[in-house]
Amino acid sequence: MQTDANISSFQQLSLNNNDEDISLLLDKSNLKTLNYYNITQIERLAPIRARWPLLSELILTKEKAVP
Amino acid sequence: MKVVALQGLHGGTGTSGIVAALAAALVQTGQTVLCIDLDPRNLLRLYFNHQWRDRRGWAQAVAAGQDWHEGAFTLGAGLDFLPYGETEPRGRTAAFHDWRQRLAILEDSVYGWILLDIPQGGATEDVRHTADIHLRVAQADPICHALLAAGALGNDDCLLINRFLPSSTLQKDLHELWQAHYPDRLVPRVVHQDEAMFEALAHKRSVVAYRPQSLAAQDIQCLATWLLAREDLAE
Repeated sequence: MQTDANISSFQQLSLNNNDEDISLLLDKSNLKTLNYYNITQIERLAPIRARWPLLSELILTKEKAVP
Repeated sequence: MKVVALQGLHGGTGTSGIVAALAAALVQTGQTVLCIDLDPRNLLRLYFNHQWRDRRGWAQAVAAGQDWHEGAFTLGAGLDFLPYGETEPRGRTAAFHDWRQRLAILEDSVYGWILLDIPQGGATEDVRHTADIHLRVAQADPICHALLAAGALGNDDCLLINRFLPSSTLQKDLHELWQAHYPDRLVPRVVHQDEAMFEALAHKRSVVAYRPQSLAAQDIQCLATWLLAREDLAE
């Protein structure tokens, strides 16, 4: 019987295989630095940044500023 | 005993109103709560039906050589409140430290939750380390966005959006940007803009006590549930 853990590890393996395939394709296309994980998110947020000049200028940080 | 510090990302974000309402929401779920006002403006008391002319509070007690908890008030079963008190400006800085030691004398069995209302720019490292969770209260506005870009959010801070107006394109856009950028740190429920928050203060009560069916009150009840469900705050 397939458990949740098996499904999860199967999906992870499949993801890893996909990653390797995509990495090979990007290598061949000279696009090694392309961050393909967040393409959907980047595309979704692009109109927002374009709509508001300040938002396109500012880059959010996750780190606290050093005083 | 869990210590929650709430602090506005900038002034006027409505932090005190959320502290008072969150205290009421936690009490509704059977929790025991102590609210402490660390803001020298001494305004949190107005949400707890406190007399404007009453000068008592923890800073006033410390300045007078008394124990810091002398100025506490009981507001029914499960809720105690400690105002800042009226003090001379000179005594304010001296009275602000040592909160870790002060809270250490409280027994876990007395209070399930301590809520600290911290003034904007007033969180000493001592207070930061005292809290189990630090909630930064923001409005979805360009000033808060600029402050976030400047690194105003501490490494372990959570971000709570207050006075959210879904009909505003700008606020919706900022919310989406922050969701994308802070997926683990943005509190999953916003507190909506609601006139009941202001009406509650005019009645000297928290919005949860004044109008529990209002949208803002329900948002804050969800915030209380979110805090209760957090594994990192479990005993």
